[in-house]
Amino acid sequence: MIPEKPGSRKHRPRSKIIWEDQTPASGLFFRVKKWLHREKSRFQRIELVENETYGRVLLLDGLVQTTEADEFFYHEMLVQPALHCHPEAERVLVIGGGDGGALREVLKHPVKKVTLVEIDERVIEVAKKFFSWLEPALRDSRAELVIGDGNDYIAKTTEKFDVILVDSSDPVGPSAVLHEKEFFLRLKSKLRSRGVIAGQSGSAFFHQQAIREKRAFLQTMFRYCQFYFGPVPTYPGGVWSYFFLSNRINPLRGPAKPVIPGLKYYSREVHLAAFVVPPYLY
Amino acid sequence: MHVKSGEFNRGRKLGRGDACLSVRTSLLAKNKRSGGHGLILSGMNARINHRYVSNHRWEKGDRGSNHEARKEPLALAGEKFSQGKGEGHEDEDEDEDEDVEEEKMEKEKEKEKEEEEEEGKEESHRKIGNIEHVPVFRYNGGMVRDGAFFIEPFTADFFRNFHIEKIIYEGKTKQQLVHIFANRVFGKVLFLDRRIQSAEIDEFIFHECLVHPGLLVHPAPRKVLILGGGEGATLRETLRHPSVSRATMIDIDRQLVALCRRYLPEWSRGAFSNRRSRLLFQDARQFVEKTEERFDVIISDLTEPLEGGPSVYLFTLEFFRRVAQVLSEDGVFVLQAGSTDPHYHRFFSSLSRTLREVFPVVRPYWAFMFSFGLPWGFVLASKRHDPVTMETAEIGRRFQERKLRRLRYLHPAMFSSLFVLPVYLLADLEKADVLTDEKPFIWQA
Repeated sequence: MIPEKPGSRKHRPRSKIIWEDQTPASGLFFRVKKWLHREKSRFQRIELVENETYGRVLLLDGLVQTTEADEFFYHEMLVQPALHCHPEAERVLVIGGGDGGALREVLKHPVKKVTLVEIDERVIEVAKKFFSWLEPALRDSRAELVIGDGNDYIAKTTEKFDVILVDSSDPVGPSAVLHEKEFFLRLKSKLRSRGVIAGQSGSAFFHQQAIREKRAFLQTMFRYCQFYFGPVPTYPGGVWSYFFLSNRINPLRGPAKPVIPGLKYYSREVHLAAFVVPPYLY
Repeated sequence: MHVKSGEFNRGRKLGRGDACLSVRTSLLAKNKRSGGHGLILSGMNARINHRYVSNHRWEKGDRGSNHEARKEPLALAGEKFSQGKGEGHEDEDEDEDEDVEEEKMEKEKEKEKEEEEEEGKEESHRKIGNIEHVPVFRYNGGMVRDGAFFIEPFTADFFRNFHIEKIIYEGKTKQQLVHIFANRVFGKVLFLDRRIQSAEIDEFIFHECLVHPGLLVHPAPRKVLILGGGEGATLRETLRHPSVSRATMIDIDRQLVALCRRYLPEWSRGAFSNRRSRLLFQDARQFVEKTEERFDVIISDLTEPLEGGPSVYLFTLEFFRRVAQVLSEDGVFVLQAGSTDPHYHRFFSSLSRTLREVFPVVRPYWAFMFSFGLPWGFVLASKRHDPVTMETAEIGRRFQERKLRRLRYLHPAMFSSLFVLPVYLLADLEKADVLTDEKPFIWQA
């Protein structure tokens, strides 16, 4: 963390509105009720504001990552399909996802151990302070936190996993390596035979090209390579895509066990509908 | 994976101008049927590449320079775009060296600019309507003009803006405020009373999802009534069904329809002059209350009920009762029903609830439009036919029979998946209020 100096740019008056330029020609605005946090960590600019409708909104490098009100869309869709399709997931790895939403969702299942690998310690600290779900999730005896590069971790670890969740940010900057073929090859080598990999794959509309490219190499590596979709209103385009990779488990068959209660978005029907691909995509 | 020059990134920084690339590929591929339409967008995108490659940083300090580039108006004439198509591609490579230099320059000036911008912001708060408008850039001052940003006031604490590449039309009809812009990413965009109605890039999703479920669920729809739908795209999609012998469209706003015919021909694609279509300009409520005709399918493509807007009393129990009388014995009624976002779905839920008072089968469904940003809801209300219990084979057969295989968004599997609602909506559909003439829904912006 770079310490804040008086008179540095971080001390400029805080604006009443915070926005993300989602595309070169449109943006998303939140009216700031209260500024909660602003800092520049080693990796990125971290901003946290409070908005009347969306609650606490976390932005990394000016991009909306998590809002209290609609994070469930993203985290449930990232985690639940994989964990419901795997009949008995015991060892789970989450790469990225410092806001802890993915960890919280995994812990709803009877897993034995979850490891969260996040590169930026500051994100964890900030999320712990402002998002109510992270602190209890980390206190859970099944959860393990590793601060480090996901790519290095996966290269060095000797363990194998039932479910690997890639909660990366986008293919530029610190997360670029998490979208490359080599990374997926490494993930595959750390997967148990019935294992599943799931992760986010960008906006279903604005990242179409990346989805097609990723699909091209993933299809050659896994027997089942399916993309699925779900809304996230505060992300660009409003529809997000995710990938589901496995050699043994076909996600189109639907959840292998009853859906856990208390979810806000995910259900058996939603699972099946999410895997319907819009024809403009491929 | 090689970071492809440009996805628009949700990621750290905007990569080298891609949204553009992906938009182009998708639209070119899909738009062969629409003649020059694909070409226009490809030209547009070529230009985006050219510009955003050189200014791709999304730091605050860069915005000024980005915006300078944006200020150049982009002509809308087809010629210019088609010229741009070739040029844009070449430029992409040539510009690469310049980019590096430009970036350095920018870094040096970054701090200065930022300070300037901050000052600007403080000065220029102003109010437009009841929305406090804080302009993004000092020099646009929140005005609606080429190169400025148009703010869509969804609610007071959450809203979106759209860059105005070029104003195509701005004005007021008797009923509503009309803005038609060209936007680089979304193509032409229509706003009524400052709310987005449809965008060139994804209107097909909205209109296919609005029209086809209702018509497909009916075994042989012959007479169709469309309420609203001034752009003509609803009519266009309706006429795809060969069994439709007469499609009547009622819009209160004659001027708007004229504007859409003139400025948004890609929406109607000749539907208005089809001999099966009939246009009436009057209040939908009056028409429905007086008409002696009976319709197989009624499609309501109305604006949201804003205060003083034309559609407040078209979403009430009394009106729906009359709609049911105007429908034939196995008629189907479909509505555009507003957002299904967890915060803004009250209208959607109330509509479903109100319709349940009148129709035995009510199936709310939803779809995702990129230009709306929020998931969008529809409601299908029917006297007999139920889309959810329809067999998959039957759906496929109807798609084939009616030659709908080449739709750009809907296909049989998608048709069924539309009706799957998330858990949070299912729970709230039960709790909503019934809308009546005395207590209609009015959107509080």
